[in-house]
Amino acid sequence: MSPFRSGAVRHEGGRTVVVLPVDPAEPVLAGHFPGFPIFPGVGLLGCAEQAARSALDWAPAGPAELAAIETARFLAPVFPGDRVVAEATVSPAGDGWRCPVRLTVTRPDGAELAAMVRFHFRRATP
Amino acid sequence: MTIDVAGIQRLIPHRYPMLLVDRVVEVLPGVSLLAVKAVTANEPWYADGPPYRDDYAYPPELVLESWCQAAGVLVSLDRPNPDVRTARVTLFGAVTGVHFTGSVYPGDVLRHRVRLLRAVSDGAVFEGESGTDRGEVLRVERVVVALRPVPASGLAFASAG
Repeated sequence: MSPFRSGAVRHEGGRTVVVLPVDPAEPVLAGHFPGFPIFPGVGLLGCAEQAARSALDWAPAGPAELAAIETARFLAPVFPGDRVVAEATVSPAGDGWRCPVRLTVTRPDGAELAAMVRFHFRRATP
Repeated sequence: MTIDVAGIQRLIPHRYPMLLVDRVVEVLPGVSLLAVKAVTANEPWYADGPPYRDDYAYPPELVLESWCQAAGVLVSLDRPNPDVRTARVTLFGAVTGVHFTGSVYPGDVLRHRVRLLRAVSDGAVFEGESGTDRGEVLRVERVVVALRPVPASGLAFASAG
């Protein structure tokens, strides 16, 4: 499991929620960036994808592969010690499914929207 | 003009294990760039086995990250950014229409083509694609990379988008 897809998963109220605490000892932070660690945007995409895939499994939607990131907006940086919460839903779209994911970052002084991502998954041959 | 790893590290701040560009093989400064990245099973994403279920495909978001780092090299040629503590940090801003059109496996060499659409003082807009020997794997309609100074207090850094 990639370090970006290792959050704890739960399903509640029609949504799939992944909680990923950003461990200050996470090895990727050493290189992103030396002297000023920031959780990479790719890590948020990985966490969002984990939530979307878990939502597809829960639906259950059948075999799916990631076809596109239709849109993603990154709104706030995520630092070591922060907690990322990704909330995903699924709806049928074209040859597959659309999965919007909302990512919030929480830290002791509050929470803010970190990113909004919309994935498109296509039906895969099993 | 080609740029090796040492040259890439003089331009962008990413370091092991998050430096995902190996060599720049063609550059038209301010216009376009062709960069390569060799994918190996020895990368940390494979430390615990397959990144996703039983499939050793390279995580697609890392293909995009690698492509974005190539874009970071292109926009840093005339303004090197090797250390975020003294220069700026490059962040994903917004992404539109990123299509994953093929799988990538250890042993593949990714070839990233990046074209600069527009540069502004605090960011740049790019498009392009990536391929392996088996054909196209990624098509990017638009990625906005934001360049931000690092403030004295990281947490004051509130609107990175």
